[in-house]
Amino acid sequence: MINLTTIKGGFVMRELEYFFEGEFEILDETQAHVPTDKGVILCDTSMSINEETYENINDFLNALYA
Amino acid sequence: MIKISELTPKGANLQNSDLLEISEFTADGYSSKSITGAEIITAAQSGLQPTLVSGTNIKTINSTPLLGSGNIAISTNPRTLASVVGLNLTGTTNQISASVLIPAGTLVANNSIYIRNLLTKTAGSTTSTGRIYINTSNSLTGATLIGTASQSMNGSIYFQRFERSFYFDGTNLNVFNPSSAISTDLTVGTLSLVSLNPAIDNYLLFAVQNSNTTPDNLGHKRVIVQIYD
Repeated sequence: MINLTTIKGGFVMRELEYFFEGEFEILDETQAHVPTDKGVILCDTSMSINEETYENINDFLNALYA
Repeated sequence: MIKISELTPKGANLQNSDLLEISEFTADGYSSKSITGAEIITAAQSGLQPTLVSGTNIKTINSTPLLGSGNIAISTNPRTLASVVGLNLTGTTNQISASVLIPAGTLVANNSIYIRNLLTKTAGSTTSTGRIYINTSNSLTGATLIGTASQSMNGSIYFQRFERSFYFDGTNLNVFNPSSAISTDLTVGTLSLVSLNPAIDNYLLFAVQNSNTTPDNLGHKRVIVQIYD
């Protein structure tokens, strides 16, 4: 499982920092495109955020952008 | 009687017309046995590769003979990394139709990647979307979007040619605006930089998503990936 660690204005994934750019796009109940300075990243609910998991993409995105 | 070891050497190559004759004593006197030079030569050459003659018993490459020492450089630019057939998939989840591994060490600075593929459906009438991602694993989770096809594969539009070219500068893939839903980058658009580490394995992921569960069934057919030096 990939864990995202939130930081100010972005997150850390696989030891790389990503900073938000633009609006996210929800693809379905489990997936979303998250625009960052390193490209548009596909995030889904199989990922955890700060070691917590989420069952739907809305809750996931709320936690990611909190 | 003369021993064979006492014979005077011939001092020349064996000729077809030479005749080797040996006599031996028998109870009735003696008998002779003989073999011609031609028979000896034929027996000695049995199973051996005949002398190579370019264009006769060894082919040429683009009229260049293969005989002799040295190297014949063969152009490998571009080289085809993969030519695969993807799956037509139903369902509204964004999922992998085909994937292509770019092995570690394949890409170097100033390479470009040319991707040509055909998006097809065999059924359905609602919108379907083809996308291309890149990731360090064969999974969409955490993948980076690098191309989006036209989403207007609805009604009876079942075919779309989907092309992209990417330039690798040594650190980033330089890509046409990945969120711009368009069949080809044979136009102008925003440049996006996508981080890529060429020292590790990377996967090109060809995904499909249908807006209706069934019967829409988009797929990436005949995905061709070429690398240009």
